[in-house]
Formats: sequence, C-alpha cells, structure tokens
Amino acid sequence: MIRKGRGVATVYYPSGFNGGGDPDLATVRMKPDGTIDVSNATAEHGQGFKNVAVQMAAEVLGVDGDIIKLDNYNSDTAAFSMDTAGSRSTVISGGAVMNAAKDLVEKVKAFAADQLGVTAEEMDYADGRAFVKADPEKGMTLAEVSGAATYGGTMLMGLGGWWPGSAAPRDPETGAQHGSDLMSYGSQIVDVEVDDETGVVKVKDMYVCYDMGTVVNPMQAEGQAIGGDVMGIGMALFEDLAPSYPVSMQPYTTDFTDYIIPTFNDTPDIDAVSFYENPDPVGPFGAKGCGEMVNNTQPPAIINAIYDAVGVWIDEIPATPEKVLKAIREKQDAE
Amino acid sequence: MAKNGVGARKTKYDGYGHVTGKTIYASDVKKAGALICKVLRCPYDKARILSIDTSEAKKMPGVFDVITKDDVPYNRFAMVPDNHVLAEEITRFRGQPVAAVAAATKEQALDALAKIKVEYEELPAVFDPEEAMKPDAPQVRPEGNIHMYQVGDELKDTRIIRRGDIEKGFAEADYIVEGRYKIPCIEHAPIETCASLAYMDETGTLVIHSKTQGVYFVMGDMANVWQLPMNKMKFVGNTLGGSFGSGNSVMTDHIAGLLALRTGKPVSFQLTRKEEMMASTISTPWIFEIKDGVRKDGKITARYIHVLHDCGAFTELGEYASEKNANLVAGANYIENLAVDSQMVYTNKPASGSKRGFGVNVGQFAEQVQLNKDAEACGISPMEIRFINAFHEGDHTHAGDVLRAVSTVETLQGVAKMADEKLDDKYLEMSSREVAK
Repeated sequence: MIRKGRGVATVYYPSGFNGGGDPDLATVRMKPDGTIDVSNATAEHGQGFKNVAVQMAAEVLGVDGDIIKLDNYNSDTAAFSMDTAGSRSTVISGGAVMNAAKDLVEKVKAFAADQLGVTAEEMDYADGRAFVKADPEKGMTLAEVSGAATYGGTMLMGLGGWWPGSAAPRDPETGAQHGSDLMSYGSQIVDVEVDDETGVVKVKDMYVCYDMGTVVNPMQAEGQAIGGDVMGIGMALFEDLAPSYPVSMQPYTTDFTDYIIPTFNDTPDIDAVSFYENPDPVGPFGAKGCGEMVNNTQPPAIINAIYDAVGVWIDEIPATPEKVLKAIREKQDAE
Repeated sequence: MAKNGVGARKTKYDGYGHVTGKTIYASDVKKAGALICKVLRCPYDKARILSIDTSEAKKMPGVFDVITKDDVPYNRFAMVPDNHVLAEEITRFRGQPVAAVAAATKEQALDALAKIKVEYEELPAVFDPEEAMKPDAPQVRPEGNIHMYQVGDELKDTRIIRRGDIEKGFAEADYIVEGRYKIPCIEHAPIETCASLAYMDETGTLVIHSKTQGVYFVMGDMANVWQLPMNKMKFVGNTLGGSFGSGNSVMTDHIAGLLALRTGKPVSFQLTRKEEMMASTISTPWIFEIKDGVRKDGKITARYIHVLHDCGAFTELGEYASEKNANLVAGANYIENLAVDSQMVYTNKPASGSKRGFGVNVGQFAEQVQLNKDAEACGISPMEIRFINAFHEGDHTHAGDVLRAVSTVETLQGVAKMADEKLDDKYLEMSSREVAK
C-alpha cells in the first residue's frame, strides 16, 4: 500500500572558510572601446560564478553586463582566488570584483577630471559615464575615457580585494571561535510516498524557501536550489559507496550501475523554490552564499517524511528499500 | 542604468557553450605527442611494500618513464600535507597510487604497469571508525589512529564546544530524547573525472590544464611537490564538468606534472570512472550521537552531541570538516546549554575530501531528524518545534558568533505557505527580529 508522508527541515549555512582567513583579489580594466574585462581565478563548476562577477561589475559601473567578460582562465592572468569552496564565491570573490569596479570608477573620474580640466572632487559618475557635477553635460563615457587613456599611454585598472577577517584560536575552555557570522538560512517541506510492501520511497513534491540575502541572479539561484534538491534526494535515498561498511569496504561500487545517483525518474513532480531576501549588511549588495546550503535540508526532510508515512526512523542514510522494508517489518513484528 | 546587473535573470555566461558542446574542459584538451599516464594502485587495504622493481616496465615499448616515490622531489602533499604522492613503505587504502607510467599509448602504459613487480606483505586493516578508536586496533598511520586537535598549547583527542550549563539544562527538561545517526561513504559523482594535461612551454614553464577547483589552493602545494617557484608553473582551466568539492584534492596534477617535467613531453592523465570512485577523495562516514533535554512546551533545555568523523587514510580535508562540523552541528537552534564532543579517527579507506555541504549537511541531517523525535516526545508538531527553538537576530551561534540578518522563522513561514501547511497565528506573526526568549 502506498502511504503518504510529509517532512520538514530547516538549516543555516556560513559563507566562506570556517574561521575566515580566505581572501580574494580582482581586477577590472577596459578594452580601448570601453568594454570591460574582469579577472578573478574562481572556478566555474556550474554554480554560476561568471555571471555573479559580471552582474556585480555591471551594477557598479552602470553598464550592460553583456559588455563584460570574466577571465578566470589561468593563473598567469587571473587575479588570486583562495579557492572555490565553502559557499564563498558570491560573497568573497564577488566582493573583490565589486571593490575592483568601484576602484575603476574612481580612476575613471580622476582621469576624466584631468581631461576636462576640473578636480576629481568635482566629478560624479553614473551609468557608464563620468561627468562634472555642476555641469552634467560635460563628461566622458567609459569608451571615451578608455580610448583617451589607452592611446595616451595611461593604464587604468580597478583593483579590489575582500578580506573576511581571520578567527583567533579557539577558546580552550569553551571551544568558541569566530567561525563565520555571515549566514544563509533555508527551510524545506517534502512530500513522499512510501510503498510499505516494497520499501520504495518516491519523493513527490519539494518546497524550499531560502534566504541567501540579495539574490544576484534568480534564475541561477533557482537552478542551484533545484540541483541541490536532486543531489539531496540521492544522499537521502540511494548513495552509498560501500554498503557493507563498517564491516567491510567490499563490495565497493565503481560505476553508476551500482552507485545510484538520481535520474529524471527520481525528481519530484513539484520542485518549488522561493526566496526570502534578507540582505546581509556586510555581503556585497547584501548577498550571502548559497552553493552548499541548497544541499542540506533534503536528507532530514525526506527521512522525517518517511517516518510520517510509515512510522519508522531511518537513522542511517541512505533510506534504501531494503532498510525501509526491514524497519517496517520490525515495527509490524513488535506490534 | 545598469543592465544585466544585480538581480537580473541573465542567461548563464557560457551556458550555450556547455549545451552545444563548445566548452573546452580540461579533459578535452589535446596536445600532439602527449604521453598517456597510468597509475599502479595498491590492491590491499593495507600493506607493507617490501620491494618495487620497475626495470622490466621501463624496457617496454613506448615507455618514456616509470616513477615511484623515490622519484618525487617532495612526496608529501594536501591541505594538511600528510598524503603521499606515490606510496611509501606502508600503504593505507585499496587504490592508493604506488607507481606511475608515461607511455606513447594507453595500451603501452597499461602493458608497462603489468610489468612493474611489487612485493607486498598484506597487513591487518580497520574500516570501522569505532573499532579504529580502540587501543589495540590496527594502526592506520604512525602518529596513531586518533586525530589530535590543537587546544590552547596542548593537543587533545576531542574538539569541545561548551555553552551554558548542560547539567542544569538536563535537570530542567521534561523529556530526554536520544538518537544515533550514521552517514555512509559518498561519492561526488561529477560528470567529468579528474584530469590533467601537463607540458613544458617554450619558456620552461610547467603548464597544467587541470580540473582543480582551486588553482591557487593547490599551487603552493604543487610548488612543494615539484620544487618549483610559482611563476614556473601555470594552471589553466577553471571551467569544470562538475566537481562538488572533489576538485579541492589533487588526484592527477602532481603525477602528470612530474612526468612532464621529467620527460619534457606533454603528459595526459585522466582518471577512469572506476579510479575516480575508488581512489579519489570521498565524503567519508560520520556517526552522531545526540542527547536532548526538552521541556513540555518544546523548548530544548540542553543538548549533548558526540561526533565521530571517519577521516579515511589521510587527513586531506577531514580536519577542516571536523572543525567546521563542530561549530555548526547543533543546527539553527538557539540552545542555551550545549556540549559538543567531536572526534576524528583514521581508517583504511579513501581520504575525507570536501563535498558540497562539507561537514555541515551531515550534522544538520542528524540534528534535524533528532528535532522531530524531540517534537514527538512532547506532543507538538515538527513545524512548531522549529519555531520554538529558532535563532533570532543577535543570538550567538554555538561557536560564539553574533548572528545578523537571521531568517529561520521567515523561511519556515515561507515554505509553509508554499506547501499549504497550516500554522497557528502565533507562528504566522513570529519574527526573527523579536528578541524575547
């Protein structure tokens, strides 16, 4: 018989290395026509950092993100990034890019001021153009500034870094450590169907609400959330490299015939994502990290839903049909 | 006005390239005349290497180089540099690299591997982290199986977190709820397996097209292995076919780079799926024991957590995971009286690598299932217990940070609305900004 159950989980997740100490650096410069090159060595493994860098730079420079390129390609040209890990890139790498773009704005203002015969303090900047505050008609676009600077032999490059601070050693008595104070939050509800004759669990619907601060790109964030949901289903129900552990490491799975990861058949009917944007006062544009948080709630929410459906706790994931059925039978025997 | 700025649904930067097959990943990069690298792996969970004879392998057709640990300029690497590029006297897990071959073709490399003569003495191994904690357990590493944490000026076998008075908290509880939770060995399972293409360029720089997710994270480490300054090496890549944390651990760069340095030829080293699964870092097991004291109204008055992280054969990122886990394992709950005792132990299995949710999702799994058991003990709903114990603005985390921009209550309200889950008015009206306890 198919039995339905609902489970909930709520989590929080830090952005950046535990204990901090993980800086990033970035540069922003212009081609002679005023198009923009950003550099930072963060890896793109599908999470969408390239757009995060481009969109943050576009926001500061007041230009179309489509004229911005990101060079993360190699260690000779891309500015330092500590690592692509710990849900750090949007906040720390993005913060470095934001600061580099702000630095470029100041340098553009100073260069244009010199060209226009005023002081930098008399200048303002908006929408890709530096102009005289008192006479906004008088100004130079990024293309004009870059052309004049390049062919006039002046290098204009915005430099930026982000330093999240570094924790002091732990208190030996309490273990206290300033691990991270930049936190994202998320909650999930999952509906499952459990076949009490086979032990097979099917995740029917998933709902998530995340606070990742200001959402830099909602489409990418939804993609992260849905990807995290599917990966979380794998962790909850299928994935186990050494099913005989801890007795033995054999058999050990070495291919995707034996090591089961979710396919489209295992994805939920409804996978609904929403954002509660509670901007962080420190994160760039109020952003918080999200890459890992979106892969946290699923296993507990699914295990809680299985209990709601059939009244058994699966405290050792994955909740394979074998384990679920065994627990159901033990419960029936006990009753 | 900025266009495609913050908040825009801008199409993925290189999304069309990915879906049309135009994106070049490290494993796609070809170089004319590249040698193929294959690695001989230890077939035992633990063994003593009595001898290695590579002389016949070196004479095989197409073979340019065969290396063992003695050929590596500096054989130790990783975030905590206790991992071995190529196996030393005692091997620690099945699949550990023992020797490497560079040959003109894959077949020649595999034929040469078969000619390497290794004499092993199989040794007793331990897989169960609780067994490995015992004094008479087989020793995984010479320093002992139990990881020692830096506590002030001392080394101790347990990382502790303490808040409030746990005995007082248990005395105030109406119910004591206990649970034990286990996480298995989990694979990252990226589409692209670990890969490196290494060659010397015209300036004598060692160029590595790498699947690393941390170019600068591994550069210093590789500078050490190869004994090269950082500007004599160039890492290229940074667009990966999935990683999920696996790319924080070096699996191919060190060996491919060394073979390119030694032969002067381009060297391609790409893990097979089998190698990726059995020999790269994995998410290694965890055991959580939680004891909660809960009041009738659902408030957690005390929580004790014992954590045991099975780190596998080498430290890799296990120490980092254990430290982060200790800070976050008690979950997004305000708990006045808390004690966490966290331990880590070495066993004969692949090493603990970083995996998405690294040290955190495993703990929050245990803690979030435990919370439902707490709710059941005091006869309230799983939603209610989460509101009752939620963090609020200005609360301290379990490790002592002050929280800001807190949203546990609001995300619970948000998801309840989405899923049409009915909430009492008092929870609908609750806010993270109200600070009264």
